[in-house]
Amino acid sequence: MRYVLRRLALYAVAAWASVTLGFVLPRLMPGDPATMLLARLRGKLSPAALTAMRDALGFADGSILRQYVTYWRHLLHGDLGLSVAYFPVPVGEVIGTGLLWTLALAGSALLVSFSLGTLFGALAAWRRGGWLDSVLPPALALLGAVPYFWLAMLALLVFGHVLRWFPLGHAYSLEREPSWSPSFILDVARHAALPALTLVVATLGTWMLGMRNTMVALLDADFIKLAWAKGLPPRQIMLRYAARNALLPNVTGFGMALGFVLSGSLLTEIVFSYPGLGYLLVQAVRNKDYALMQGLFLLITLAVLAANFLVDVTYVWLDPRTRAHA
Amino acid sequence: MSALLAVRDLGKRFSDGRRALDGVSLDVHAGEVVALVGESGSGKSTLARVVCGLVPADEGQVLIAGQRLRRAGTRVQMVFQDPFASLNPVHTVEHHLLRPLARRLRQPAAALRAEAARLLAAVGLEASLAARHPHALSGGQRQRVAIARALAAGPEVILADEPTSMLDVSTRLGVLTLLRRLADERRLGILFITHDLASAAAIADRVLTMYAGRVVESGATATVLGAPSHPYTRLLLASAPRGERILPRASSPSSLSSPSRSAASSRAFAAAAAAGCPFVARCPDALPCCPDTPPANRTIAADHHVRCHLYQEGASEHAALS
Amino acid sequence: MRSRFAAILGDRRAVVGALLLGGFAVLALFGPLFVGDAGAAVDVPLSPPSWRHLLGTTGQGQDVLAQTVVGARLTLGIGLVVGLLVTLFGVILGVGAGYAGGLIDDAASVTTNVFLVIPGLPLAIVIGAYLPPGPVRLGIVLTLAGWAWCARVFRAETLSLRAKDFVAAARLAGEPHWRIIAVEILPNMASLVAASFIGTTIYAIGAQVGLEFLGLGDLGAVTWGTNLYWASNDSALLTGAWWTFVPTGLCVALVGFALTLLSFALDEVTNPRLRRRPRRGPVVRATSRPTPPSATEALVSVRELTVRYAGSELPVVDHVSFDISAGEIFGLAGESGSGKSTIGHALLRLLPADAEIDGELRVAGADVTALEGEALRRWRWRDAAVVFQSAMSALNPVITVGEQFVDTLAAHGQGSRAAARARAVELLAMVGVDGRLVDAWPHQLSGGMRQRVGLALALALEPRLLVLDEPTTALDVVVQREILERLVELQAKRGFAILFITHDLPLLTSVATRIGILRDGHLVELAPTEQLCRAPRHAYTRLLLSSFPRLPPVAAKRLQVLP
Repeated sequence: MRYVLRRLALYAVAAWASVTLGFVLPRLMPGDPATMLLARLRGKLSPAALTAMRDALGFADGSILRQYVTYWRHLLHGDLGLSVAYFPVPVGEVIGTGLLWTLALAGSALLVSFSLGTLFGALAAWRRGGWLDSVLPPALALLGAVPYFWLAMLALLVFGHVLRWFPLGHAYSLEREPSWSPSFILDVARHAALPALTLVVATLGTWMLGMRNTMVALLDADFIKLAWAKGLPPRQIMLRYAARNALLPNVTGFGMALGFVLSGSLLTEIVFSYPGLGYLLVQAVRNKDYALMQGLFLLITLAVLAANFLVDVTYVWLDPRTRAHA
Repeated sequence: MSALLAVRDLGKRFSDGRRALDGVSLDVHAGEVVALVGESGSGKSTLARVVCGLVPADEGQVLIAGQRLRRAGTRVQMVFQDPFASLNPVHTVEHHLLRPLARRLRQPAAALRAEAARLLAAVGLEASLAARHPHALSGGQRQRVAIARALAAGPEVILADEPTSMLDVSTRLGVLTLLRRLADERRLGILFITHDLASAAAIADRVLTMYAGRVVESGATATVLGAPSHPYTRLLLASAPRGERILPRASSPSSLSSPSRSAASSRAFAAAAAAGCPFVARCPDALPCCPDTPPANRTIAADHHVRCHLYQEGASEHAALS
Repeated sequence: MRSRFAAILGDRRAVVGALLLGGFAVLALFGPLFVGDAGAAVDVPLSPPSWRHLLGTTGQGQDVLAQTVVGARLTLGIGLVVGLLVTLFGVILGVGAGYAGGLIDDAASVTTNVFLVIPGLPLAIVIGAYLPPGPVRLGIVLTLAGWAWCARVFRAETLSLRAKDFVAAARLAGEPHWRIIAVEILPNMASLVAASFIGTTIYAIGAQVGLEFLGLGDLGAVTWGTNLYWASNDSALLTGAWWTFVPTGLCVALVGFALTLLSFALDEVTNPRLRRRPRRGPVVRATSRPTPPSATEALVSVRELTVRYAGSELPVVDHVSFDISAGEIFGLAGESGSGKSTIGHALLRLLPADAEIDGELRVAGADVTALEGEALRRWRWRDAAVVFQSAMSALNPVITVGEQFVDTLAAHGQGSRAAARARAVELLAMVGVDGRLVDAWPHQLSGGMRQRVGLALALALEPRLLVLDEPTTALDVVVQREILERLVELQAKRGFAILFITHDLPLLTSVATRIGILRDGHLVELAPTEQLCRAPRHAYTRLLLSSFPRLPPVAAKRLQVLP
């Protein structure tokens, strides 16, 4: 329990730091930041709306402390200002639609690649020197060294453009109305397949190599030797003794790599014009939409923190030693 | 004559508040080897690190020739347990000796090298080893290099923390006798920390037994090991293998193989340490007062001190009974 | 150090990686001199590869080849500089915080962890959005988003090095802190610094290309990332103009690949464990003459046992023969490297894959060297069980004590779960462990308790032979004594034989009936305990016996009474 609480405290600090970063950064900009931030909105907004926007971005009238407090108040009410790129939709709304798509795509791809990678890694370590161990890791590591989005471009070219197996982009066929009908869900799956596959292929190597290396080291451990001596079935030794223990550092690694992988998946979305957060991010950058940018940064950070927390809880569940000091 | 190393009422707490050292006092005279025995967790190694100044004390003080030692420095040098970790793998043997020599002697390089060669000879190593890296040496050789490095700093006191426990048996005695010889020839004070009573018996002038951060018995080696008085020292001595056969059950002291005692000991340990004698949970001779009152240090014979209620005023009849 | 370097050079992957990198370095340095102005429009936009333009033209009509070659310069330059900066930053922060400890370390470690959990790309974007464009912006942003990973690695390494005794020795020698860091700590990190430089350079190139692809680069400059940005902006994907992005991407991939190869090679050099031969069963060259078992019906019969590891000339065990009769306590004594543990492991067929076993091994009539696969599995633990030295690591840390009994009993088809649990409680009681501890996790037990659990596990199937490999070496004398007494008692009651392996001769003489002395793989003396102690014949036995200091006899009176 102590472990989980300590992690929670860390996430609280991280969340505070990222919120505060959004407040501090504009102030480091040369010139008059407030004017610049709002330049593209001037004339489009009523004076009252302009003031609200200033407040939300941390430029309320008064002392800097007051500005900070106002900034927080707006944030806690979910008011992140108005988007320039999607004027005049509030940032919160713009992000809301993208979040679902990103979570579904990146989340499922990550889970698939982590499970598969871990399994392959365990198998590779178990049959050290076998074909799985000698062929797959270098091949996957090569793929892992390639930028995800370029892999996505290649996949799109080959499977979308040349072979025409998959659609060229978007989350669903634009002529369709979103619904829960089986045909629509199938359509969504068809659109998600290629980006998800790209992500799985790009990240598989990391998990596989990590698992392989921890497990190889572990196979020399005394309790594995004892398990052999006890005549336990090899499958049990592999799964319950070796893999179960090798999983622990890998789960920690998974938590730490989350942010990195998510960043890659955002870029992949752009290639597929997938309407997730990555696509919004590029719109924000190209339109100098600071409010949207900060909103996205906050939301993505919070999502990663939450996912990290889930990983921690899983870790505690997996490792009795972290549970001991209740 | 006043002691070369005088430790007075040293106290140290772990970060979780438990006492690692509790009012430890001891003397080491020039030319004397004092052995500190106890099991793992008794505070021996903590004591070593506090005495040489690597770790600050919470209470009490350490005096070298009457002067208070405040920081780690060359007057007290240490020989560590693990010969694989105590030498830097990237440096040669000679490099380990030259630095402390250079700091102390401030002489030209050639003179320092000659001095390093003399030191290697003094610890029984060939001069040809000077250019080697630690991984090319055996455990015993490494430990001798570690001793030479300690000497290079020109110390008055050497703390040897389990210097032989990780060595092969056939090289142990050589390292032990080397320590003895250094005490005799160079008039160094040596505090020899060990869990092995026989090693203590081999080279020490005096023996101290430590339990749960306290010195529970001290005296001349022949006295403490020949006529052990504290129940813990007796338990240690009874447990040490002496080559006599261990027979099934009948001959074993009743206190030893009772499972409940040893199972309970670790937990009772922490609880008892707060109030009375920390050994009470494992003690075969415990008195009614033991769990609640901490025993004081008593002198029971010339240069023989015991910290146990069996030897307090009015306890003599209990003692006589057992 | 030099041998490591040679090992890296000897690695084929490292050579390929280095050659690739060298090629790109030449390309980046001199290539731009030959390809002309990369920014100028030279032909019809999006024309496919032809003899005039080997890699076709971009959506703006620029030559793709020229763009790719020119792009290498800035991209690789920034990558290397950022890789260097991040590593430097990481070393300074990690080593500084780790060495200083205390509050500084706490603060640094919280900051590092915060930066680790904040996702890098969005962070880089918000920071980058407020800075003027250019290579400096990229450098700042990439360093800020990437330093934490590096700092964490170096902090961890510093913490472990700082705790080493050679650092303590340097402090005692009066060395100043800066010298301890520079002379004692940093040289031990050389390979880690190299590895992390390679890793951060991979990161820096990848992240840089990603940011530029997003449009956060300097769109006027020619780099690999902006090439990809323009390719995607000019709808190269939708028109199938593959030549606009494939060459650039391939370059990024090749550089990444080359660096990955280098880091693999470095990894294996610094972590030899990953390099070891595959694990299959040990190669058994049983001299299985179909002779009947030795005339005297011993429980264990070892004949001419020789064990050799692949690639080494000298055998670890050299023609060793001995018998153990039923119910006997047989001791093997020797120093490290004498081959004593190897013999124990060979008896149980636990040697690693690269061991070659020669000779005859019989336990309870079974030809141990002939057993394979399922038959071997079934034979194990039934007739011969083992207790290892390391009480700490011999139990699976993630399952309860009881579960380890259940696994063992189930593997040999013994009873239901409930029955196995009940048997576990019974076995624990037998070795003096509270039965309630069946539900405890291994880490909750003390070393002595764990070793008792190990003993109970070994007795689960009532084997006829118990191999004890330094079973009490890691324990305190008092606990050691308790366990030995329990062991001797159980042995007398149940009549199993023991092969007791230890370096501690006095200990062995107090339990074993016969003792074999091993030296460098040879059995130099074998005699009944008494005879061995009284009249050792081999010089080495005498040396061993004299190596143990003796305790003086304890005075008869147990207590002194107060004067």
